[in-house]
Amino acid sequence: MKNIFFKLLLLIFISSATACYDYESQFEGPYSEEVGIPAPDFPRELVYVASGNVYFTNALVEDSIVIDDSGMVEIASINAAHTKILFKKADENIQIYDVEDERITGEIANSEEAIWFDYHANDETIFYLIDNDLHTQGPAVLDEQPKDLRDFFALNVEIKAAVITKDGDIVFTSTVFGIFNTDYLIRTDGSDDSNENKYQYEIPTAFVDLRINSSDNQVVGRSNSGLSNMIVFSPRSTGFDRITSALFGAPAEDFDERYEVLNDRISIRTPRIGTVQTNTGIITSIDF
Amino acid sequence: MNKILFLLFLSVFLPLASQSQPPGYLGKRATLLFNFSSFPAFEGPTQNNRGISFSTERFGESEQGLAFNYEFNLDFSYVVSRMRSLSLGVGQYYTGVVTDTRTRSRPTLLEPNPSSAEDFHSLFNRLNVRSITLMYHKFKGEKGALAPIGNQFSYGLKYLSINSEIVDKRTSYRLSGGSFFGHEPLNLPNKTSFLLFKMAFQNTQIIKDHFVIKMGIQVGVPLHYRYWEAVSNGKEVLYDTGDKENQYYDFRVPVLRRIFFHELLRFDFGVGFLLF
Repeated sequence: MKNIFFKLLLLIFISSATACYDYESQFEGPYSEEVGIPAPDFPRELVYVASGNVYFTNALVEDSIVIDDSGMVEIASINAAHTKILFKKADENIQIYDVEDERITGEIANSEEAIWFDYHANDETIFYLIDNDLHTQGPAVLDEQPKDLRDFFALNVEIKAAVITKDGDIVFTSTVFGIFNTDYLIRTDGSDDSNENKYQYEIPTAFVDLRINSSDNQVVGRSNSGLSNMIVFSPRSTGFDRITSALFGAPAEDFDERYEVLNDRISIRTPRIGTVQTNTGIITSIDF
Repeated sequence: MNKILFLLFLSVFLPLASQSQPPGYLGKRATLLFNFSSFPAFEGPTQNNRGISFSTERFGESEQGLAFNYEFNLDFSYVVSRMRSLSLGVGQYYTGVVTDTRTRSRPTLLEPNPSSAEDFHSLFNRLNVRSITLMYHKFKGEKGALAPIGNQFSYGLKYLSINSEIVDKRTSYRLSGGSFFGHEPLNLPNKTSFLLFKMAFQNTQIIKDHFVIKMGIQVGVPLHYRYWEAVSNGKEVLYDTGDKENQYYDFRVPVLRRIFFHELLRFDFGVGFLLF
């Protein structure tokens, strides 16, 4: 009887060891009040260009500060950590603005001709497009740079816009010139110039102002054909996910959430939509 | 007369006060015991979200099933008479508890002035429980026991100090776009304490030289009537003192319930050494 009791105790003892394993998170993971709580007054986290001025504002588009009031800025971008902002005036180099220091801390040399630029998801690497070549500055995210995106085509092409995903893939739009001009949106791993690792979709018109979120599940672009449509694209899907009535926008981290712009109004779509009028003029660029 | 009374006094009380044999085992009164107690986890998860649950809500999709509650203790006991001893012990264990709470929704572009909207948070907490136990042991002399050896019935008080850590969270936002704007701080406490009444039926045996083993079964019940009312009737009965109190009960009531089922019944096994 005693032997059975001892064996039973031993079994319970060993089984209890299973309770010593740590819990594996299934949802948002550990939570602490000290970290991870957004401040009750929302941090400034949205950058947009209106009437050539750069505004940095919070998610409710209130409490804005003006970063550049020259009236000459064309494009502005912000990194995912919301610590650095890029903006560019016509025929000038891309400027680097530090959010914490609240001043311009540098510029990218020889970037006067850049037609598109943004931060990589690593928050440090800047990529920019000049004459069909994709350049980077900062930690390497491409096998070679500059990368001539025309190498992916046998025909004469013009690259309209390009972004680099967090995995180093290149997503870009192009117009291929031939008997009939054809527009494509392409995703490639950039490792070689063959077509093996290339996903290519024919699109109605090559769109510009490409933005990709750091979750790599939402690309948005602006139609350049006068159709006034913003196109939302899931990078690995086989076609467009949606075409909205907005002009262009910026994706949020969640697939269903993004900012959209129509003239001087900014909307958040979640997928419900709420809109604010900025009263800062026609918006020409936005990033989140 | 006084001499007669004095002799009478001595003849009556001296046998009661004196003992024919000194207390303790071979003169040893103090014992240091390392104790392990365990029982299948039911009505509440272990620290890794295992265990059998009949009524409580599961957290996530974790596989449940047979798992064990446990506690480690270090006890120092001292024989105070032939049939009685006192013990002081310290213990520690980890366990888990599922709690939930609500916070007022933050304004969004869609709802710039949310009035009564609330976000709902489901939390999985890991509890680090430290305890101090004071027990009185009554040995059963009619069955041949002699403190500290033999069958004994014990009762006493156990103080639990609990630290909680949220190891997983699942938030449901009331407003569209809420996840975009985050939520208000939960403002939940992460510490609490409880007092338990403990009873135990145990047997201590000499195994070799000064080594003893102890086996038995123990029962513990928290002494907090107001929270019991909340556990049995729903914590809403306490929701009349403002937000801060509500959030306090969001934590303390489910923790009390978890502690109750953790401490209710245990088999224990210990190995000890007769010190002096």
